[in-house]
Amino acid sequence: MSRFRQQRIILSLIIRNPISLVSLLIVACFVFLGISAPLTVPYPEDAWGLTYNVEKRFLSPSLEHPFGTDALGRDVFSRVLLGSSFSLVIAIGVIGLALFIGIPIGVVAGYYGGRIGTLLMRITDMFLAFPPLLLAIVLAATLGRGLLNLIIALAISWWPWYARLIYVQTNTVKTMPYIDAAKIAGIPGAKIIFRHVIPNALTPTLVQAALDMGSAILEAAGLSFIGVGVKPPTPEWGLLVSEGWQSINYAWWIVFFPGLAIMITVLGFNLLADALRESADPRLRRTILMRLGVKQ
Amino acid sequence: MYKKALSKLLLIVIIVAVIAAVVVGAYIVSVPPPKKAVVYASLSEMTTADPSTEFSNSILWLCLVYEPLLWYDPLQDKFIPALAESWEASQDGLIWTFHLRKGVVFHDGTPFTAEAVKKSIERTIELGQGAAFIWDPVEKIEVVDDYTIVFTLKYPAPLDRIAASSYGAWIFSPNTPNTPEWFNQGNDAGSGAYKLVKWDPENEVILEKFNDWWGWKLPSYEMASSKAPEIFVVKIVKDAVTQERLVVAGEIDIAQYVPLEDVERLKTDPNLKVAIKPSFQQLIMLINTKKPPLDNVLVRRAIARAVPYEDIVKVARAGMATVASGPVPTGMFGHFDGFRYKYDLDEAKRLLAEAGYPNGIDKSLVLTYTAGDVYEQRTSELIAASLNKIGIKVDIRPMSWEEQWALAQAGWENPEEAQDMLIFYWWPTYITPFDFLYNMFHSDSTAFNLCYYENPEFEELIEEAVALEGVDEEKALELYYQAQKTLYDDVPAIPLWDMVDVRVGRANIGGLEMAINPAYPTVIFAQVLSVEK
Repeated sequence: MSRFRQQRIILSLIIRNPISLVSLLIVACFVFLGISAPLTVPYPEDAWGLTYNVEKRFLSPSLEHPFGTDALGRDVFSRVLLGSSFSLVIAIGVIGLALFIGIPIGVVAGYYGGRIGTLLMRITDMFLAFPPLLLAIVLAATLGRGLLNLIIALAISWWPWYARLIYVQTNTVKTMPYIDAAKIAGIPGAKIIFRHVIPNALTPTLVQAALDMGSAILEAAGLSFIGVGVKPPTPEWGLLVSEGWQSINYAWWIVFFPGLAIMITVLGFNLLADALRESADPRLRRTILMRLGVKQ
Repeated sequence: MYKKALSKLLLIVIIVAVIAAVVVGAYIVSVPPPKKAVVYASLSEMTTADPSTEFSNSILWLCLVYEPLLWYDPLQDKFIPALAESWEASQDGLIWTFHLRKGVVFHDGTPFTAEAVKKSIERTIELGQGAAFIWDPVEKIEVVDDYTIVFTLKYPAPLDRIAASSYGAWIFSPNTPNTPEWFNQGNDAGSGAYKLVKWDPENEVILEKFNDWWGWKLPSYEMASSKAPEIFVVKIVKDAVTQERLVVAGEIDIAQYVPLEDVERLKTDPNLKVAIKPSFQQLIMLINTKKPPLDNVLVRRAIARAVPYEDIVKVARAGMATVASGPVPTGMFGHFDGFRYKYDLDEAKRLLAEAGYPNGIDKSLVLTYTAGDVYEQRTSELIAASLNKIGIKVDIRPMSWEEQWALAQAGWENPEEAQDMLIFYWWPTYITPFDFLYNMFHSDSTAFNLCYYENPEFEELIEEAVALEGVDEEKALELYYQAQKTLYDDVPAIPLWDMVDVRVGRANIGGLEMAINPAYPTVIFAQVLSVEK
């Protein structure tokens, strides 16, 4: 089965299943909003936290302010909307940086094996020994608050999973005949790794990474909520929830909408992840395809 | 996947925790509460239990278990006799004689005498920790007879105010072990209206009425009520939203903090009473006077005119504060009303231009505050938004207090490395303007002079003023006025607001307002409460 056909089947599987379709739409929507928000927010000054308005404090949702206003009289809708950009940056940043650290370590350990491999994987295991969120909290608290520090802290607690994953894949790939052929042909190790090992070992890791974006957003929001994440007045969702939580008895909308945004986005990523996992599993795929009446 | 297993584990942990909470909750509810118990929720954990060295949250119950020689009511500028019945100072303010109360016993049964006063204060001085510095003027303490004690001072100082200090002025029994370990095991050596029966500083502290307290037997004594609670529980409830829920539900009797936006609504609840009283806690912004561009007094003056004081009080404190006028809080001895800066962006821009920055400042200024404090956060955000309007960019940095303080300390070595502006609270150890002016602005006070301000003339003024305080109050006030005028012109700091304390109690708890005294922050004097059924 060609790669193209495989992708088409996965796509058609997702589209045919209404839940998967919704999840795909949510993720697409999130990415679109994340990219466009900085240009389209109705009240940019409110969104970036550059202003305040004493007269407009704690207004309940209305046409003018669909999500109401917060303690400083800022439009919650604008802040939540811009928050999607920060979440997107965090998700891509965390996963990207984690891959950047994890892939070289996993590939080198897997390809060369031996003492180097053992050393690298034991270091990875050391990181894996910490509960990931706890490690992230400690790192974030040590580095100080800020968007970049948050991304670094999460990525450091995250990369060992990718290192493990690609390590296992590399071990499989390096026993393939074409690798032996390349070695016999005298191609240097580094070139083999870049040309042959990484391209063939990468797919499962990349899929896993894309699916982890939801968790990255959730953990970033968690860190911001407990006060070790981004700095105010950044409209990050977790920080918005923590800012509004004080007024929850009085103005529910300030925490409700950012909370809802986190929930929907994370749910979208998780459902999509489930759909992809099912479609990638041959046995599951066959039963689903049969149920759907698609000929293989 | 491991992550999935982890989230399942988390779910199980949460379910178990909820079940445990329900079971424990049901158990607590099923045990009938003792008669006339009052539960007071504290936002912070208690700290230590040693009356000589404690300099933090434990003030909340120390004031009920221990007594000083005098209490001080700063709102009426009057002393309330405690262990001393009367006192007098010599003309030069160097010799202070206290006549002590008779018929007082400590919780361990030891009768109270002058010897106990001498031993207690000498222990505090010897240990030299916490608030021991308040006794710095004391040269020697002499016992004349069992009920008379004489303090000789090295230099004139207001010893009556010092003796009424909120920290470090407690008198305790001379016949108990009195080691830090002994105190921190939950023992007390006090003579106060309540004795310590349970010491669990992270969860709850339980006090029980001391029936032999002299105050109960003195019908006219203003610090005692005939309907005082028999049991007083300090319960640690670490967030204001939960405290509000608990007091509305009647599970606690007094909430230390509730979200301020809810106060108006709580006032209309017939089951609750809201007590509002000034406090001597001030939020102040200290400016790094050694680091450009803030080393230029014109820039500092511009900033002082670009801070939206009224809006900050409305937004950050829901109106529950007073715009500060000078670093000495409203209502306190030594406070003057004329030191408020006018919010005027045009004037601010003019001053900035005069300082050589007609188009604003091209680097962003770092403003630090203590992370987790919502009032400080809102204040910082408003300051940043407003300074932005005159072309000054502000980078807000929430930090833990330790981190913030460490960064600020580095400023004494190298001002360039430190923050540009820092906001924090100050409140006095004992009620004197000197406490504020010395700690934050005297160059000897490197721990808290985080504006790195050095002005010998100013230092001379306040040193002279504090020496005169006990002798010639009028002259002292005049000097304090001049000192604060100097600060007003030099702007090493911008006082922001003086806090107003809001406590919410159940309607059946009478005398809540009387039980609050700004000289002893966070304390509820349970002995003056009247519990109705």
